Amino acid sequence: MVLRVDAAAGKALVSHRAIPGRMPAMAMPLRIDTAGLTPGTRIEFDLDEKHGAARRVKRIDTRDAGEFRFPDVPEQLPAGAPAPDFTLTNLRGEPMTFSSLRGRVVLVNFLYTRCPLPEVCPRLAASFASLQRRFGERITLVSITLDPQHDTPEVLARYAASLRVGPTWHFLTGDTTPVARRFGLVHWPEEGVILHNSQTAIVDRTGRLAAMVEGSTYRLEQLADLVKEILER
Amino acid sequence: MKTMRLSIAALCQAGLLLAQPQPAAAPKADACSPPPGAVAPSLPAKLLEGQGKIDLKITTRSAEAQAFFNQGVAQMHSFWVRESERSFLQAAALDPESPMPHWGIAMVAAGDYRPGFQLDYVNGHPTKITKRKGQPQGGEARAIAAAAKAQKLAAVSGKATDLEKLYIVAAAARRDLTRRDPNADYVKALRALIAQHPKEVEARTYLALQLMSGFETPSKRPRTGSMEAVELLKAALVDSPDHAGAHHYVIHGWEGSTFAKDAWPSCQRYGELANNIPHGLHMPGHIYAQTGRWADATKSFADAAKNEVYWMKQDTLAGNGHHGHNVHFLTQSLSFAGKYEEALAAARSLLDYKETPREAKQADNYRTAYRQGWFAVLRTLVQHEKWDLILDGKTLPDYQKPREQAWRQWAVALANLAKGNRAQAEDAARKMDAQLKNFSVPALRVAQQEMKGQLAAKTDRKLQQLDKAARAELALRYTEPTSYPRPVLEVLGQVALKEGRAEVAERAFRQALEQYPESVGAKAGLRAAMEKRTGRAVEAAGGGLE
Repeated sequence: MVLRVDAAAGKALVSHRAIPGRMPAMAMPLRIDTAGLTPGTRIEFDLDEKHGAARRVKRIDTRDAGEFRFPDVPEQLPAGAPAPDFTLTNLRGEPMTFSSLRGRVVLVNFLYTRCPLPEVCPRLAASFASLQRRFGERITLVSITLDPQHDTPEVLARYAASLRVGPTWHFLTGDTTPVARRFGLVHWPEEGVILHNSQTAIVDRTGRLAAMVEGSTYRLEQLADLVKEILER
Repeated sequence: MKTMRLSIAALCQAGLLLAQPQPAAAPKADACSPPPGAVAPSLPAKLLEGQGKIDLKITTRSAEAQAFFNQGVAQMHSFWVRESERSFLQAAALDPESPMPHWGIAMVAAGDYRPGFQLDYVNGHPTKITKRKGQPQGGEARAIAAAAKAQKLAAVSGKATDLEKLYIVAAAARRDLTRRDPNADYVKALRALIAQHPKEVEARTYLALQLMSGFETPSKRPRTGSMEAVELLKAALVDSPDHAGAHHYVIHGWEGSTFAKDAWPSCQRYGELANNIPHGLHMPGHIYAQTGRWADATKSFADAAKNEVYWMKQDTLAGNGHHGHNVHFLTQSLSFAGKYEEALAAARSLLDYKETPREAKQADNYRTAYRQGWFAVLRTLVQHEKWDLILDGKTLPDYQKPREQAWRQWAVALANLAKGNRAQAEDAARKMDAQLKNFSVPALRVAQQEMKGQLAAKTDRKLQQLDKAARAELALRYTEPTSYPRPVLEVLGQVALKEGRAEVAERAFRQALEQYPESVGAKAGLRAAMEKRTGRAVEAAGGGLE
């Protein structure tokens, strides 16, 4: 996962997984072709140890589901753009405006409480729970439902209780589809489930979209490295 | 240069595959009822009205578990399998030690609790055993796991009666993939249960459903097993006159037969008993449509559509494929009743159901609500000879999929021919033929045969070819609504009339009325043919039309 990009120097800070027998998982600066890379981009590459460089870099396409591809979303904001402002309903049934969180590092993900697939929504929620334990109130977490008809404030409150959420983790419902699309989410119901891609956005203290992580199968350490990097800015 | 590739892609993709569940592959789904979910339905379930009352006593310490169990069985009887599984799961949650809720999941989650003929079974099991590929997934995997769980719980002393154990043995047999023919063993186990408990209505209805093998087309001769199913159901209704499942299976067991009318009382009663399940309201329409009760068929499908839309609004996770089937059938009924505007409006309403990205990617999937709507529009325009609308390029959207492209060219050819544009008609027919070199289904092969007849220059050749196409259409596999847009026999009658062959026309229309009793088009054609042949006016009602 790319943590930071220095296009002028042709370098990026990359949090990689452990390479068995060679090195543990770590954040490592690498010489790399930075075209198309932004914080949060997940890549695979050949490691040129001698030159500290990444070769044959390929962006991991989490939208490709084999049988079909999740379509691109024209409304999706690019990295660095001001995050969208919106007002949704929190688990107490009160309106909450996203811009009220300005000045904090905010992570946003999208899920639905009756998602039965352990690898998707439960995993996203578990990642946030873990980040909450690790960073405490230094970060704010926002989970937005993709199933607002079912995920009423009451349902979200029960779900949040099961995750033992703290005061800086918000669950939101309401007309969430337009918000989801600004973050690159596409979803639709299909015979018993909601099919969706997964996006985790990190908004920095200035309210800009600092990073966008696609998919749900990243390592938690990689996401934590990215959060740390943005907190330290 | 020393490099090593970081192999994270494979991990991510494995995760992604898990992330994109495929709807459970119900064998040969006919869209007549929604399939099981790719994943287990979420709880809680609710106790609902209008599901059809069932009372199958089980060993449980929880009255609420018993109520949800009964509801699960009732929903199973209406093939509402996702809700049935939800009810069984609720019962299991209320009494985790009771084996029968797991038996219920074993019965429904695989998506094969359906009439044998819909699964291509004869006499209860596949005629050809094919080697299975890959591991069971989705609903089938859940059903297998549930059967194992039911067996385990039933082995605990005092947790299951002998009768419950027999039910579990039967379901477990069907889910045991190590057996050569699990379905045959399921049938044997049900027979063993019934031998010990001859008055057990539930088991008799399961056996009947499994045995019903349908009827040959066009002879309507029963296949092996079908008549035993009929007798089982007749007897079950004597013992339990308000059994929703038995009434439902009478409809399936009688459809496509020479005695479809005998199912009328069950149509009435089933629709009353399961009046809050879309399939319960929908199924009587099958018999009504086959027997010429078009107004009743229309009401069935309209009521079912209303109920389906209600449930779709209640839960965003409900699919719309069955709604597509229902409204498609509504369209066909309205067309045969001569109600063109209503038919077209119903058909067009389905075009509002845009396909999901996954559906849109599929080259051929005629079961999506949109594609059923598309075909419903086509059949309505062709049946009512709305040639200008076919050619306007808007009323029938230009949908770029092989099946739809072939049908479109067929309709365009017909429209041009009717308007005297022979060259354009031949061009469209050629395009259809070209399309069908890479993709074809039996109904489209009939369409090619019909087109040959339509384009034939000489009258005898024309009539001969249309007759051949009509016979091919009659031999198509039984489906409702029909896979052919409108009866070729009616076309044959019309062409014969136009060519001055009144006797041929009269015969064709009479046969068409056997195929679709009370078809407004066939009746009008028959009247015209008789008038032409006799030179006398024929009264609208009666007047020798029977």
